[in-house]
Amino acid sequence: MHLLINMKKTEKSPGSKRSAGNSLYAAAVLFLSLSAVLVSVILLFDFVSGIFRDGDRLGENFQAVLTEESAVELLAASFLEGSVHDYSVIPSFTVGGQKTVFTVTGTSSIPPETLTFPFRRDSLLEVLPLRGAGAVLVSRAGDSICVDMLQVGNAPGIIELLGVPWDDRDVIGLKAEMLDDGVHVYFLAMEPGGGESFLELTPDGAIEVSEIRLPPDPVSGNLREVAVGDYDGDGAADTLSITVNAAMVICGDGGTYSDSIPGARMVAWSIACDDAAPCFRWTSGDGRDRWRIFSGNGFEDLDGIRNGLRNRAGEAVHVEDDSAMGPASGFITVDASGERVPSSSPGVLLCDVNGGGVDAVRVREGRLEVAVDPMEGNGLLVEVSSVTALGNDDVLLRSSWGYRIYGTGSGKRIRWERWS
Amino acid sequence: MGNAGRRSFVAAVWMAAAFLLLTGVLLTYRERMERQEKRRGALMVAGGVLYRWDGRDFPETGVFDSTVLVGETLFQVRRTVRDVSPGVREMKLFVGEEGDRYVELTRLFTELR
Repeated sequence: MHLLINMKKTEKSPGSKRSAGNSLYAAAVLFLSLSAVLVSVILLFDFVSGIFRDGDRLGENFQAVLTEESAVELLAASFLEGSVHDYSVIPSFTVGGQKTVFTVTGTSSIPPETLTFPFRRDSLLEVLPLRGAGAVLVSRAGDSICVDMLQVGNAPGIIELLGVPWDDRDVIGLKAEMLDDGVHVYFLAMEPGGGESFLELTPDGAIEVSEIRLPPDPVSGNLREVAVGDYDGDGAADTLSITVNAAMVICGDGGTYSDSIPGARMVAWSIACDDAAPCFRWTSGDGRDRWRIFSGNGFEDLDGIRNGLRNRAGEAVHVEDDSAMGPASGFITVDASGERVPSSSPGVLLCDVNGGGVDAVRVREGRLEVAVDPMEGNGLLVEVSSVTALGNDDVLLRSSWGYRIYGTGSGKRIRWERWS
Repeated sequence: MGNAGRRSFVAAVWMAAAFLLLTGVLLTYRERMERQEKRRGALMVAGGVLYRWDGRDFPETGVFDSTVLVGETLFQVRRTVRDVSPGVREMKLFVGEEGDRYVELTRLFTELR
């Protein structure tokens, strides 16, 4: 009985048990809630800190882009100045505290550079080079004669200058000239009823009777070059016209001299600097060369190339292996593969558009194509990957680039573009 | 106080705690947030300034100061260009407010342009 009473004393009441269970439950809920709040707070702070980290990173990424652009340009300059001799050892560059490291992934030969522009014209009549700054293009488009400006260099493109209606007269001679007030185009046209007319297209689009009387092209109807100078030494201006198959000098006193060699093509011409005498190189079908010179009162044979020949721009003239002479006027053709072919392909006009040598210009399938300095031969493509990093491990930017290198020596040119 | 009243009180305490927490976060980061916003604005200004040299211009040497207003912030822009080697120029661009630079960027240019 006593034991029973003691047992009852030690036994807790049911209300007390429930209260203890509730307390435990409440403590667990409180702990979990606090944990959830703590985790939320940590996540919130981490999130906000992440926003700031990203913000700080934005500045680093911005600098990484600039570092990479700087390094890519510096590498191009290294290629251009020839300081990179071994492609397995190319320089890295540090700019703004970040470093760009390059790796060459491949090299290959590429065709000569070709610039392509949309050009809605039917045929190209004349290209007038502008001292390395591009060219003036005279072309036919339907019933119109169009004059456009081709710009090369840093901002290549075509600017439309003029488009004037043209009637049924055939153009059998043409010469463009850049004067102070703009482009003047001189025509020798065949009237529909017969007879020739000399016309001038002025920069404001007017077609007037020309005071300049162009000579006709006696063979192909495709006048390739006209130059004005005192070729006979009498002090009066003479006109020299050149086609593929003939050279003609119209002297200021009215005398006319022409020269052609049956079975031979004129492959190059230039002006001798010492006495301003036009010189010509003819090549016959069997590949033999014959040199001719205008002496003032006719054409004569010349015993080989004359020393000191200079072209109209005053540049030294040299003989190329396939018989083009000098950068001012060489009658070569560049085919689709970039091969240099000494021929008189119609539709391909040759002149120095970019100031670096003979360029080939043609219209094809609604585009104007300019093969830039094709006489240089093929170019070189250098494929490069770049890694820009802050320190050694913190990589910010990875890219790949293509460098196209054309020409050699002072005529070397480089283009580059981001591939990825 | 009954059960319902106690629960309401506890809920109010939690909400107050949450509000205080968020206010604390906001107050803690307010200055950084403002600076961050200004830094973004400064980067935008720097991008606009540098965009001019995406073309092919070779920058002139010297120190060039200007100001750009973005929203209510008047940014001061300083551009210093110097020759670092033959044919290579370094342009440093600083964008900030009075006595406070948010952005400092460096770009090199060559005579290829």
